[in-house]
Amino acid sequence: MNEHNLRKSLHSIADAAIDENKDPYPGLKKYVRQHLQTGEKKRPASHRRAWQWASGIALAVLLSITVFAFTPQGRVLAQRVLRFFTYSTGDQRPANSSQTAVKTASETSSQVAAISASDDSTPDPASILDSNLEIREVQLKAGYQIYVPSWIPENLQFSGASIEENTNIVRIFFLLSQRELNSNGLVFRQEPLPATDDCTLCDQVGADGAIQQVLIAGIYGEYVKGVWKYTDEDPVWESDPFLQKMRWQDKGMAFELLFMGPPDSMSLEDMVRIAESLKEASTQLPDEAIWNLTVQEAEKLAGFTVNVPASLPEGYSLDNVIYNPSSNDVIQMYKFHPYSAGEQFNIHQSRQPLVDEIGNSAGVELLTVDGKTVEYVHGSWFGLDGSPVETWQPNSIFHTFRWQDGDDYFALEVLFDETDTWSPAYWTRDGMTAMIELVMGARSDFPDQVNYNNITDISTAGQLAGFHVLQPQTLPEGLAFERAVYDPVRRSITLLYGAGTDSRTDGNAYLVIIEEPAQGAIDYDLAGYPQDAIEQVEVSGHKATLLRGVNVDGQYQDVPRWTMVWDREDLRVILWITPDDSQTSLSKNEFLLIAESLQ
Amino acid sequence: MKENLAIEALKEGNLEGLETLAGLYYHRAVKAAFLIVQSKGEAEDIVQDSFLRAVEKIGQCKPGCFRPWFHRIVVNAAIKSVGKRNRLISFEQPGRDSQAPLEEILRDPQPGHQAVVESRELTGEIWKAMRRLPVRQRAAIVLKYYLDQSEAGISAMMNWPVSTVKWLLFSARKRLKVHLYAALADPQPATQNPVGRSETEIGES
Repeated sequence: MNEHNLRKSLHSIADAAIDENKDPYPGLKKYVRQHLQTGEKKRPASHRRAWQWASGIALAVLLSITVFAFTPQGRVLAQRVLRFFTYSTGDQRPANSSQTAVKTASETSSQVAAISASDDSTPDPASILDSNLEIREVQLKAGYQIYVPSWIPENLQFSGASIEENTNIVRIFFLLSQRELNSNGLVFRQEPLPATDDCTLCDQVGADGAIQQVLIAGIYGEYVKGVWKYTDEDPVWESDPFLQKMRWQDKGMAFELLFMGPPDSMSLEDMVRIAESLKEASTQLPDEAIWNLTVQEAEKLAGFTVNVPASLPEGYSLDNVIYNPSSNDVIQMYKFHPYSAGEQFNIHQSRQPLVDEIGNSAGVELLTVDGKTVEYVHGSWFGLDGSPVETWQPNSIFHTFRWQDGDDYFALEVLFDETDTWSPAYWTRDGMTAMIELVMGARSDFPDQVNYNNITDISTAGQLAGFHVLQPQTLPEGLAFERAVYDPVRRSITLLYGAGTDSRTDGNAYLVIIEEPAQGAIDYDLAGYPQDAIEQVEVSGHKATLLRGVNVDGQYQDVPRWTMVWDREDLRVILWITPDDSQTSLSKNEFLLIAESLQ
Repeated sequence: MKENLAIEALKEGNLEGLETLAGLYYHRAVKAAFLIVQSKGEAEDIVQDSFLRAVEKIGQCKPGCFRPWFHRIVVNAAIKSVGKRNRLISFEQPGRDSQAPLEEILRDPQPGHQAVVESRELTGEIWKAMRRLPVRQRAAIVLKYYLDQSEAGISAMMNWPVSTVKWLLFSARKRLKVHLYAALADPQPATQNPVGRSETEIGES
């Protein structure tokens, strides 16, 4: 192998695996935009300080006097007494202002890493890996007192901890330091000694002949070098100096140390010293939020029952449960799948009022849901990293509802881009109200037909619109029906045909048919189209206007996109096809055939 | 010039600048990440997040520096991603192999010329051999032979001493040769011990 072959092979592998025809920009832009907007809430609920509530109330009183008396918005709102939002003095504030928020899922891993280390002597894990649990997180989740070494060799660094799902064994990982350039290291496992024989770490440490007895602070343990090698027949013991294992029992626990790596990086004496250095991990609650909990774990920590919606909108599932000790706040985070553009909703629940500051120009709407007053705000603070100020954005992707129910205070944050009216993750106000009712326990099902942007069968679309929906009998190769969108204001149905799960953003060609009751003359905006791009044609005996190219913001582009609009009895039809990223599209006649085939 | 305008646009908070940068760097970055993490989906996620990070930190980017700066973000993210995965595989799931098989990627229903077949075989073996390299060595190979960086360039980009870069490349090439020689001489895969690493690798660690 020479360097030329290596270079050529790498290019060949990469070229074969990655399709360059896909335009990454639409999806990337949406992803970045959504996360920048959610990034404004980078400080999670946990960062809200203890004084915030008290100061929030004080601020609310002061602001209610100031704002109501001296600002136009205040005078308008003077009759409303807000309980859960407080007005800022303006629409800008210092970037470090406190705010209740949840990070989006993509921020979760860094959040976990950012949780500061406990007072255990384990090194800071954040410098190595950023997506595992810390000692006190596993301590909180384990349900038993765990132990941590107070001494480890200098060439090892703590890299994270976790809990084995089926056995509840706690694992703490230490990797050989970066300079050694490999992923070898030490794992320390522990489990409580059970009353029965069901103890994984109580099994024999290795093959009889290889086991060596060791003394650990007066207690005998077993030590072995090697590993069982699995073969097609029975396992065969293989003496391997790169694998060292030690097991012992103490303090009502079974312990195991397993080291994988060069023998000169870990001696038996080192392993014994680690074992002898064990001390109880801190059980004190951290100041920061705890992520990746189950609802039951969060309830145990919060001390109250968490209201979980009995039903979810189509496409959403529970992504994370977070507990914020400083405000005793449990947050359920639900994400929309399969798209990952940031659509999600979060349910906060606390025994303390969830007060949030909003921009001075923000509008607060008071709703009554199941007899309870709910405050609603559309907007959020926005500030790029490093910016000294945050600005209130009234039309951001955040829709926040707050209310009290008995002893509990709730907030529902719905994150979606309402300008993307075709997004299948789109929410209507009815949908958001239904979700509040579900959290309140006032209903058990999320209404089926709320998501007008994700109608998956055409007969349902026709029922909603009240007319027979025309469908093409001829389609370009590779395109199939993806979904329909219903606009209750125009009573229009939009049919989307594509090649993938979201053809509008994945770079593939897509066909759109909009059908709505014909009212008045056709007023399709032809401004900007050159004369030779506009043609009058006949479709199934009806006069139609055929357009070539596209007019975007007044700029005509002669791209292979075809558009046609015509009235067919009482129905107005708009048909267009957008080419794929390689600008491959249909000929005019092929496009006309699709229009003729509508039935 | 176009790139500098895009960067300036991003610095002013205009995300339209992303279109130019995505057009220039997205696919190459995904390919580089793919060669390191050996998973297409993971590579796309890494690059998507890297663009987000780049936009957030665009203030740090000086005119003309975007390419190495962005590649550094991508390669570091890929190394981190593999490090996380390796730890789980090494300690927990012996022998698990979640990477995409190259045979599927390169599958071609048309019978090829002998030379093409041989070339494809070599490429397949290089892919397998790459998988067995420690992640930093793999990254060094990608930086040198895919992103066409000099050793000094890698050093500056990744903030690794030149001697480290030389050592990484030397070790990687040596390992690749060993794995390729073994693979071409014996079509059977190297024996895996129960912790999922070949004996050769452990011996060389």
